[in-house]
Amino acid sequence: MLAEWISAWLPNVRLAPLLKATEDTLYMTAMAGAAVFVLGLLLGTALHLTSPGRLLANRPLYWALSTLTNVFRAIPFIILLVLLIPFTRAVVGTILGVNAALPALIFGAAPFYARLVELAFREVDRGVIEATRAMGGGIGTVVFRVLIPEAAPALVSGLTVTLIALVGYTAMAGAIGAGGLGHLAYLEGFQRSRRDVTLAATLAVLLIVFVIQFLGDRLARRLDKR
Amino acid sequence: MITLDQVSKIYHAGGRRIAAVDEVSLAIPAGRVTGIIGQSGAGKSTLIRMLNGLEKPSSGSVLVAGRDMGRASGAELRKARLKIGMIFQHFNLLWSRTARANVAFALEIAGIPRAERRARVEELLRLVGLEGREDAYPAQLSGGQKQRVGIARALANAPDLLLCDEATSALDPQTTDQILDLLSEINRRLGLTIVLITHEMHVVRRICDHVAVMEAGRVVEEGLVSEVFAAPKQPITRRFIRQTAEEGGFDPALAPPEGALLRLTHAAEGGEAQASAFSEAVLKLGLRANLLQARLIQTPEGPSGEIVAHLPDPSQARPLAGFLAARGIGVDILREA
Ligand SMILES: Nc1ncnc2c1ncn2[C@@H]1O[C@H](COP(=O)(O)OP(=O)(O)O)[C@@H](O)[C@H]1O
Ligand SMILES: [Mg+2]
Repeated sequence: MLAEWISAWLPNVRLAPLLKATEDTLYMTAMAGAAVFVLGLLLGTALHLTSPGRLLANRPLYWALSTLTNVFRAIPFIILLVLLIPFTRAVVGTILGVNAALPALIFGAAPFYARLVELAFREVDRGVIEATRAMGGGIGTVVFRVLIPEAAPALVSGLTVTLIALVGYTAMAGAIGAGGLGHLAYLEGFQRSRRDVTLAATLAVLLIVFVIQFLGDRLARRLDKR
Repeated sequence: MITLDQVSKIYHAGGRRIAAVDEVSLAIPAGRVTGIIGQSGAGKSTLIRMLNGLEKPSSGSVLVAGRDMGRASGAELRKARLKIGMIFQHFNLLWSRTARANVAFALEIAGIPRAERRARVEELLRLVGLEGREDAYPAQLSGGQKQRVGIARALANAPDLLLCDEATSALDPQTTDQILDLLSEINRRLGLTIVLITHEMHVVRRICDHVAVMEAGRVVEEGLVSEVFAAPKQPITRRFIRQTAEEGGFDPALAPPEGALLRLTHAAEGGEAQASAFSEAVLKLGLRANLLQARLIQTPEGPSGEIVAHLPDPSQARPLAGFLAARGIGVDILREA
């Protein structure tokens, strides 16, 4: 039925390439998202703990981490893609295809998520951390049993925002050879003047974004016991 | 139990030097309830936080159960903290955990196996009167219930010492009294030492055996509650006593300037015992005596009647005190001249 509908309204759209492109976009978003979650959580935790007045307060270290984060966040993604070409070639072995997009996606989004993690942890009640220390808890207890669970709704909301940004990044990466819906919209649609292909790719991106937003909001609300 | 020797804590903020705690020496007895009272900014929180090493003294030594809390660090300090419970003005519960899981948290930190944790948590929640609310999240509990969870959590690892930082200051008067009575009961049943800080005289009166009065980082007066408040030496202490006078307590400053003042107390008999013994004494000894105040108050030993009498002739104070003491009435001579 979908096939009939498509051939009637979007004459140039072929289902197989559209599904493949969607799959590629989802693959890039998921792989990069997983790496960004882990790296962002690590970097965000380091930022939080070393910031002034916190458990491992360390001005020079905080300054260094903070500057690094800001630099990567400040570079426009399309420029980061180009800048990382030598690195990507060395690590992935090629600069084309879905895997070649991953380094840039990760470097682009991890610092962004790290800041959101830092922000989320800063909102955790200091009194609870104090109580944990008073009970004999160490840094590990504070991070894994207090900061992460108490900030969970904010961590999930932050991840939702980050994943949606990643979908946007994959589209840009697609335009320069990574594949996915961005590739479909730009190379197959725009450059060949097939507006219906661009439209179909756009609808697919919108659908992905809405689903991520919906699931993220639901999970965040479920975790919120305040 | 706790010995503070010349303890100071100096902060530097904005180029200024603040002595939050200033050369405090204090011995806190084991198994009793000791109150540290002082106005906001007096250094109470800083002092109590040095008892579990959340704050390190700038100089002096803090000995708790023989351990120097100022020098302890790392694993040794964390181990010592398992035996020192603490409760807070704003409860400081994890809102992502239920009441049960909040109490279990303290046991997890101590490395208690899961099966053992379950039974212990039930027992603790029963102790603080929270049966039926075990699965509620803090957001679903009232202030008093949250503090009960806080108390259960603080008692989880069977501490020898319980620190209370303004534990009732966020509660309404009725809830305050319930929590204070719970603390008093815990002190009696478990025999643990309680140190509490407060800016409310009522709290000290109701459950403390000992009191230390703090002002600008210093302990200016200390001793048994009955003694310190019967004969306050410092203006700040008198100010605190006036605070309870406003709540219905006796204010010596309002008494006639001449003559003796006596306070008669008798626990557990609702005040009738000393009232009748008092009138008997007045008749038998042919005294001239004025009743300044009579009321019922809550003390660590239970409800107690309190009568304050004024004798225009101070020489009659001793005979009256002797007569009443022989009938089991507690007599404080507040003023003999
Ligand atoms: N971390 C800190 N840095 C600077 N000054 C502090 C700090 N903690 C407390 N103080 C100061 O020490 C004094 C005593 O504070 P505190 O112990 O909290 O008093 P209290 O609990 O009796 O209200 C106050 O003047 C306060 O501003
Ligand atoms: Mg305080």
